[in-house]
Amino acid sequence: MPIDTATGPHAVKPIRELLTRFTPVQKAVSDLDNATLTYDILNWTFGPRTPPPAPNTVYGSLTIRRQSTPSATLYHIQQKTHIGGQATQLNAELTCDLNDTLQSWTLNTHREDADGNPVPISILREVGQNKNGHIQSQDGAYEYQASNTLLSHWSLPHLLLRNALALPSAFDMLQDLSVLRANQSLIDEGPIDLDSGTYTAYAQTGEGILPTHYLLDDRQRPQLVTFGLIAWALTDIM
Amino acid sequence: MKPNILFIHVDQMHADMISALGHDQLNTPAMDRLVREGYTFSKAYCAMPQCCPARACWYTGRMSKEHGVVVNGYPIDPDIPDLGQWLRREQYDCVYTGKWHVSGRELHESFEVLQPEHGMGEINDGNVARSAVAYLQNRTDDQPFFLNVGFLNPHDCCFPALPDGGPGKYAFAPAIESDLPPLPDNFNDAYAENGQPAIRDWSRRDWQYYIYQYHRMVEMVDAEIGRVMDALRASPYAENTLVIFASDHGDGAGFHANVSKGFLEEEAFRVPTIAWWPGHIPAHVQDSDHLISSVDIAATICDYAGASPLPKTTIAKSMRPLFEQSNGPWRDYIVGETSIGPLSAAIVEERYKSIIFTDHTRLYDLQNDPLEIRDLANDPDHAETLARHRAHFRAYIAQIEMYPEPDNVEEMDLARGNLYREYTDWYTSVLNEA
Repeated sequence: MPIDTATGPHAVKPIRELLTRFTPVQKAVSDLDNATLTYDILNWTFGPRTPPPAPNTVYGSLTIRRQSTPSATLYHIQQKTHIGGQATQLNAELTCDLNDTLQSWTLNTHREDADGNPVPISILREVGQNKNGHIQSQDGAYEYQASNTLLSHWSLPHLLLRNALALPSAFDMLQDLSVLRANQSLIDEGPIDLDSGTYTAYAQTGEGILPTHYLLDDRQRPQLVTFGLIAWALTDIM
Repeated sequence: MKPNILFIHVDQMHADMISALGHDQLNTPAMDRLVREGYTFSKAYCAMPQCCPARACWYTGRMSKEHGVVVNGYPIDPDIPDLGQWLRREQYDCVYTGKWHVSGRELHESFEVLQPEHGMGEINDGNVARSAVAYLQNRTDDQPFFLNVGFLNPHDCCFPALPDGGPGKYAFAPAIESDLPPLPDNFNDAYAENGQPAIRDWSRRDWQYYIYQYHRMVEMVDAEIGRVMDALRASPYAENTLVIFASDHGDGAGFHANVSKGFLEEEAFRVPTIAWWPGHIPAHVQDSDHLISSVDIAATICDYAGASPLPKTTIAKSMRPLFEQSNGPWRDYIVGETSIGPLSAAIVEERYKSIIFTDHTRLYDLQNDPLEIRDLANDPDHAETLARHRAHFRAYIAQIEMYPEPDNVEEMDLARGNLYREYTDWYTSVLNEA
């Protein structure tokens, strides 16, 4: 799609020219319903004039484990980031219905001191639930009204892995389990050719986010997710 | 009982980008609620539209030419106390999370630090919010708190606006083609002819995309503001906490075909400013009668904290009489300054505004021309207004305590050279006009 590629700023250049140095994971996944995706979290600094080697900085890791049960879908999240010399741990347990609509969750997070111990003032536990679109934390600290199907941003790569076509055309997204991003949509942008292969790109747009691109390989593995300054790059799948 | 004080600030937010104030291209439920429940100033201006100077003004109550941070990176006068140091004397628990950026002063000298700052809002603002929420939930001290929450966004807009593209991925998505916002009514490719350099060689759609992503970044930070406010409302401190919300400066956001900051047109100079304290500060007030300078925030915080004013504040006034609706006198004009590009200063009255450069002046009628399209400086009918503003400028220079050129300026590694001498020479010459 010609969108000012000749004269426009980097801001509107298509993503493909920025992705020539990405190496995908080749491992196969046997059980799509119970898969685990592990990502590096990158400070995304690909730029058209950035010479190799890529200066992208890995500042964290994210593991998203999906567990299918007869009555619910569970997600187990582990995330660790290093920002400003401090490490932050985040663990979350999500309970979704069989369509992956978010129902309830528990999140625990804290910063670590230099010895790896939790900093007491930073310890936070959040418990929340979604009842017919009414989203509320147990302690009353936040409350939202969703007008569409509610998904977690952590479940989206799994949804794409299992069946991108089954995603609702419009949804609301609870980011970090505490910030509502309303009126999201995901569209198939078609194939995108990189040095490492051909991918199918899905673009998510909506309130409170920059266009987010999910790149799926020929086995539907979500190899790369690019936000604005952050990217998730797949490092393992099983 | 002394109130707790929560100062929430964002970076580079255009004053009008709140849906409750009539903006229909974005959705900001958290700031909308602040507007409904709080006291909003529609004529609030930063003391200087760049990060370090503006923040030093917040925390010292002094103007940029008084505290020494006349442009990013120039060090603050080490002898001036800041709000953290000042309120510690009043037994406040002074705590900070997120962006500080007061050049020349280490944050931990003045505050207990929760989450360190980071140069990218998308990466750190969520952690900043969470650290503030955790602080409100976990603290056990009896002393009042002065909690400062420094969000970075929508400042991330700087990255796609960099001439070489900068870091990050700001790829277009065809899905938003039909959602791109219109350009501002004063978008003007030829604004360079009026003295402001046209800084981006972008197509109109490039500009629309810049504004689109700027709107999304405002929504991003709005959600984080909501997170902190929700935690406060659900906490034991809800009834005894004064909240002040502000931005250090605005952003071009396409107005006058501009991005970024550093200039004194309304888009970069005017800032959102809201005060909230149910039962103590009137709700749902949009005050367009009073001119506010960002140095007033320090004076207001000291007032409510029961502290004496910060030393040597010359311009700052506590906003408390406005909240308490006492009908005392207020100021007739405010002054802003910038050292980015050509040195300039702005004089803003209720109706007229001038931007004074070393060699010329522009004049606007904000009442009839709020977008500053028609420069009236050469209109003979406005000569008296111009002269009055020049007199205001002289009075201002006479009032402030100008930060002198440091003795060791030759040894200082100053990115923009000896600006001290530039402004002291200019201000002295203006003063001598009298």
